[in-house]
Amino acid sequence: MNNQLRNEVSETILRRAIIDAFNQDMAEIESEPAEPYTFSEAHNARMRALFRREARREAMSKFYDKAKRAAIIVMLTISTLFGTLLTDANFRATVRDALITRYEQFTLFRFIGENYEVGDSDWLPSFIPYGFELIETVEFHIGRLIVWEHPNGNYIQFEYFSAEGAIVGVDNEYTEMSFIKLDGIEYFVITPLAGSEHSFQVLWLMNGYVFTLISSLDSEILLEIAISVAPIP
Amino acid sequence: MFLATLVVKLETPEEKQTISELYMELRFLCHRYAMKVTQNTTMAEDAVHNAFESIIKNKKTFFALDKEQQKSYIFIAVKRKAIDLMRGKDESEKSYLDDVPEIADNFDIYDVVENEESYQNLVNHIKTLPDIYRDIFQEKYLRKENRTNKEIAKELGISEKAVSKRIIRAKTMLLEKMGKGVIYEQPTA
Repeated sequence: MNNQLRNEVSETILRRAIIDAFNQDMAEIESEPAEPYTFSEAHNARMRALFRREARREAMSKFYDKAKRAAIIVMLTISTLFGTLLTDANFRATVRDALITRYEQFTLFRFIGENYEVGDSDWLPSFIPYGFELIETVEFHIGRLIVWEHPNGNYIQFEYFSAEGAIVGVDNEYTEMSFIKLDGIEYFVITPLAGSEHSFQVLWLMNGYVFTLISSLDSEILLEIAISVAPIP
Repeated sequence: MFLATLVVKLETPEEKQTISELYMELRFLCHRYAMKVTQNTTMAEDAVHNAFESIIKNKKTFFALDKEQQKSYIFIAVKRKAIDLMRGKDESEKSYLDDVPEIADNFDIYDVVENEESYQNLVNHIKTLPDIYRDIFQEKYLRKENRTNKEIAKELGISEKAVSKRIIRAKTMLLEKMGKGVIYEQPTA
């Protein structure tokens, strides 16, 4: 037998022996009488935090993937649709009420009407259900995105941005839309149809800002959160 | 930039359940495995945590494996992290390993392993190798066929040359144990 073949045979024997050594070790450990062991609370907390962080990374990555896809489909960039109009002072001066256009798969909310005086406020809900933890805050030049997460997997995503010329596209293929007026503010409530994978959503316009809430929680809780949104002092 | 209001699922359910389910299924065994190295419960817990942290970081590689390979991956990771924690503790082991000479990479055990008994001797010698050499053997031969030194180096965060050296030294020591070289004795303290 030539040297090359001998080496190949040796490698094969070695591989097999390493696998068998590992399996024998594992079998010995598994067959040992196990002393009852309780992991420390510190360890359990670290493991929970580890899996939560990973879930959050996945969620944000999927959110931005889907946001990009939607932008391509419905041309959400203001510059594409209203590029020339934005330079028109009259147009900007007359931004007022929401115009709802229902397209086949997407509902576009375009906010037109009186010019809003958009202040410098930051906004936050004063009510968030118990057990949710703030996990992400993303600043945009015209708004903010905030995400809370619950250990049971539920999440709340709160976003707001300047209403001037804003367009928000909502996938309405598997959802139902309704309106409710509370304290003078009209809330658009988007409810997923049974069997749909979509989340519950609430959208409203207030003080020159567009606000959206997306969550695995139902619309009743979302509305409670929505009406608690106020400027941060 | 204007964002579409869209649905976001919190995670890919299969992935999160698989890693965290495997953790729940194997955590006690992982802890016992780590205890073999650390002999310390807190350190063993750290090893288990660090192992799953590294699995999540390399989850693309992890999910390319079948179920049995995934389990092997987990235990190898746990042991590796346990060794890392111990190595941080004990510098004397490091110098001992550096002193192991390297015989030319011509690993030939063809005429040593003749029957079932001599094969089991080989298995037993592998079990008695220092952890750092068993670890590199497992990385090289247990995970998947034809795993390159480059892949191992990337995962362990060491150079390809270091991987190659460890494998050669591991084989050298194995040959010595099997009587095919000079018997190397561990220096006494």
